[in-house]
Amino acid sequence: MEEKTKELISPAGKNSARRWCLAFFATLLLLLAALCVFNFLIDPFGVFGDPIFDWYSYNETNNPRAAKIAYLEKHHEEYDSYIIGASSTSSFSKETLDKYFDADFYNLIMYGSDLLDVEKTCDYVLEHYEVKNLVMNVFISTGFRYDEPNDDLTNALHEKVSGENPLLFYGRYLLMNPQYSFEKLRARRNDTYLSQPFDVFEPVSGAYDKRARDAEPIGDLEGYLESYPVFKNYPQYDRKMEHIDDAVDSVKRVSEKCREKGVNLLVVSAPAYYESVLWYDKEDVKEFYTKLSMVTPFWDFTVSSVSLEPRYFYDETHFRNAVGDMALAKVFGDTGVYVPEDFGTLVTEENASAHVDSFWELEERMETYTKEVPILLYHHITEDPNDNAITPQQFERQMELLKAGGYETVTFDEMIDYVEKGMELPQKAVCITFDDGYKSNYEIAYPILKEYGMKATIFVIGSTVGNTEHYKDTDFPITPHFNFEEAKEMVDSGVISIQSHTYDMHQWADYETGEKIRKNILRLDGETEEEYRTALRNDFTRSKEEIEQGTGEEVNVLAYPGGEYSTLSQVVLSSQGVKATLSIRPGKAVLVKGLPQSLYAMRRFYIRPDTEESEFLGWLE
Amino acid sequence: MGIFSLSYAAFVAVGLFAYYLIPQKAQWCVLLALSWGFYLTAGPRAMGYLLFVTASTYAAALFLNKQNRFLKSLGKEEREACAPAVKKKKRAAALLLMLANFGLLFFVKYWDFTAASFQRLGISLPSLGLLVPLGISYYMFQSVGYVIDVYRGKYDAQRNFFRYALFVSFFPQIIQGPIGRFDALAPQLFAQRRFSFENLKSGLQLALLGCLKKLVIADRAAVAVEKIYGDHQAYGGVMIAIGVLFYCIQLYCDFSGGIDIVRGVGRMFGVELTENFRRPIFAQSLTDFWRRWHISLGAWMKDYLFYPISLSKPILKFGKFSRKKIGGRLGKILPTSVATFLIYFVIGIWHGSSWKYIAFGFYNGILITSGLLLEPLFSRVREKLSLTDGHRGMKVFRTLRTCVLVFIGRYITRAGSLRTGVSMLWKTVRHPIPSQFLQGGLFSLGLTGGDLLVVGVGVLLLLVAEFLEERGKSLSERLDEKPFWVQWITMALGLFVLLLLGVFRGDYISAEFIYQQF
Repeated sequence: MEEKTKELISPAGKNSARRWCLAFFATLLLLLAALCVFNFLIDPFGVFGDPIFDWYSYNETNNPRAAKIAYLEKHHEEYDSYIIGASSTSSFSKETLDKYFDADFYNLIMYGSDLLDVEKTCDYVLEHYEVKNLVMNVFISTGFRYDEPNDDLTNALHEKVSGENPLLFYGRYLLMNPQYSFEKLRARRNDTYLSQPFDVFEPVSGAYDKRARDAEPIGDLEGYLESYPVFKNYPQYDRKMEHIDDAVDSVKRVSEKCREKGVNLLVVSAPAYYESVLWYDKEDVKEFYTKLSMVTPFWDFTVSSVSLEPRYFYDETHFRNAVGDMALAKVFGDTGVYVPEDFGTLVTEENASAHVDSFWELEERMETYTKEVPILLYHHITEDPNDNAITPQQFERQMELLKAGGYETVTFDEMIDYVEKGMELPQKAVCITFDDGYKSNYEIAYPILKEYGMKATIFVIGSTVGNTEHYKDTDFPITPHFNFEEAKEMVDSGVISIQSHTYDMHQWADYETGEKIRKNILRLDGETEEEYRTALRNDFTRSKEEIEQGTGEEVNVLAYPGGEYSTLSQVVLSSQGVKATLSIRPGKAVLVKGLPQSLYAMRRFYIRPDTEESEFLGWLE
Repeated sequence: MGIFSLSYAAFVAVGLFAYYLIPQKAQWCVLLALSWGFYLTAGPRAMGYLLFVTASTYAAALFLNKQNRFLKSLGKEEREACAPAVKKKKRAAALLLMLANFGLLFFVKYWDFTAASFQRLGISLPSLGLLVPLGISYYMFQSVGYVIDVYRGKYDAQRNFFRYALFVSFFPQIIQGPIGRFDALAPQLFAQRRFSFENLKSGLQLALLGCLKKLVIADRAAVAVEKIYGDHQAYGGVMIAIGVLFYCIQLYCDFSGGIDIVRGVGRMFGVELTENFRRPIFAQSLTDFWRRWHISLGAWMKDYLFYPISLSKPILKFGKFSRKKIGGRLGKILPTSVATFLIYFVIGIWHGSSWKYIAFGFYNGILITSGLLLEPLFSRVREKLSLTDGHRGMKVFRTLRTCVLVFIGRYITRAGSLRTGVSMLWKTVRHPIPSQFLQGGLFSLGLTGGDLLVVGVGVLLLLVAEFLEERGKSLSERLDEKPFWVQWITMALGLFVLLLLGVFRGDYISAEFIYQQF
């Protein structure tokens, strides 16, 4: 008994050190094992198949090289064609590629990759997946960077591609810093519908998720430069292309493999911002493109008038998806899409040298691709003017001024055609719009417009169409709104276009009884993203259906109630087929050919009873 | 191969297997092979320096030993007759050896600084741009100490070159000390031993503690230090003082953590290396601080510099003079004070080739010397206040005073230059700008709230542990008395914290960051 007590108090005997040491190593092993299990389950790089979250937009952001192959291992049967290259490759959209190639494309863009990464990945894909078409993007920088180190977790190639010892490869991802896994859990909590810096990829297409960036309205150049000052103060480098032969050899091997496998190969060289082209030695560029042309003909988009326009670029080196669409339209000769005349050349051995020489004479070949259009915003017209209603006399006088000034009204269809197809607009173009859909538009404005040979667009609130006495089904009096019969008459005349001002997202707070009041299109407090998207989608669909039914005219333009909008609202509306949206920020709308974003949240001049003639004329100039 | 790396851990593990599996007679050979192998990873040139120091001190010691024996072998009268000549020879040999070694040290470590200093005076000397070989100040001092001991006849020289080489290069301590003594260290290195779990356990414990100090605390504190010292113009005095505080934390945890690992690894091989830190935070005076901080350096200076200087002819002469002409207590202690001042001056320079280290040496030397000189005054004040030495308040006061003095010294040693250090100190006094601190300045130092908490809790735990140790038993002894599960939980917690907050610190790259570059 005594001995036992003693041992309890002082267990430090001869064996205790041994026990402690064994416990030490066992604990260490146990902790390491726990680390492995944790990293395996959370799998922030997707290399273990992401067993819990299946969240490849996140995994691919961490390491596109490894995670994309891991994704394809599970999904390659859904694709039969691949486009591959460094980050600029993302801007060739899957939808456009699918359309032109009649195929199912996967975008294997791997940011920061060089042509050796691309070659190895091509090798693996060609050997292991069914491939009909392969599009390879050889960006100008690939002659400069080659065989960059791939030893970090974040830029390692997948072991299946690199041939690395699987034990070492997976071991690294099992024993890595658990912070990678913790961060994934944290990001999961903060995940939103649109992409954030931690989940920039779209798993199904493989490309960057540019919905948010592509919803950003683009207007005048000054405004764009203010938002993206890098273009004003563009970085300067002096780069020697030391890997021309390496890069060309990689392309050669891929092209030989494609020939061997009967795979259709298209090599393109993506558009570059002109100042970034000047980083490279002229002779190097010539040598690179000439040697490349000896290996395979390729479509070159590196330098054109596009290269001089910052608005065609997301940032200093990445051109927009819209530009990718233009490039593919050029390759496939699609005349329905605007393509600048000097954009894209099929480079062969014969023309390579002359083609590169033309890079340095760029400015002489500039063409006009933007147009400023003043858009006028009217509301009610009455003998008794108030804040936003003007008198019939004022309205008529303004039409007179337009006519006298030689202005021609343009419709939104014409503006959309300018942007999408490059169809020209009248030199002195002006656009007339009315918000809300007041009966006075039908009774007073419509005849005057007809008389002056003008056209206009009226944006109606679906829920108040035809309300002549009361606001919806309340007892509150309302300024009368025209009905669909009157609307159809105006549309049929060809003078008026009827478009959407939402169905019921422009409510009058004082007259509403419900708890949630939507004064504008923005998300309500406490509303989830999912609820909001559904609400907006349903509202617009109803507005569109009723107008189309009532007038027979297609609805693809929406004026934001109160001029309020958000990135998410623009994304949802774009996905519903809305091509143009209008704000009430004063200023001329600036249209840019080939940039659908120049039709977003277009500026308008708000006409009020106190708008002076001089002011009005000033807007038009 | 840094001692906090995985490759070092693997190296030690392989070394341990080899050491305990090989026949015991050859165990020391394994240690030498490991040591030279380890040092070779620092490059062949560094190895050349090591071999030079080893060979020269080896030969000198053998020569001195021979002279000692020769004298001993003589009869009393003959010995007295020969002694002066032998002593002269010995002195010449020892001086030559020191000249060669310290001369080498001067050229690799101090030449460029000297040349730059002369440049300012308009005298142009070529700069050499030599890389300072890893750990040279440590192993050279250790070897020279050995030669002096042999010179003094304290023990016989080691005849086997390779055994001696092991003493010079024993791998755990070669890079950052502690500076060992031959009579204490060598027998342990050459001993034949069986594997012992006790040694492994206490070695692992010490190494674990060292890793925690360095990787969890010091590396975090370093971020704030880098930020404040690197951009000191942007900060007011209060933030600068915080930066210095972080530096004190970093320096102690980094250096003593490293020594813990060194001693822990030593223990795994059954070698008990000399203690280098003894809770310096509780030092009662600056002299006491240097007995607790980097102990092996202070002890070396005392044995091989202070005593020879104190007993040298000029100082003895000066002593006589001062006792006679100045008299009283001052006259008595003045010679010691001069020697003391010199020692701290040398300690300052030992730290590196820069004016700031010279100033640091002066700072310590002046404070300690004036403390000695003013002691009668202090003691009268204490009497008046009826404070005894054992009074608790007195102890606390002394501890705090020492902390403040050390703290002020740290302004200088980490700053880019002496001038910067002084201007930072000046700012603390004259331009504190406390608003910087009050408006969340702590969170702008590159550390997250979590990091600050880790540093705070870590330092607090360390203080409590050291306080308990100061009052008696060591931490590991206390732990050994606890039931096994307490020991296990402590160890598991230590490992867990080390893995989570130490090992993986810093190698995380957020994808956003990488992606944004493309």
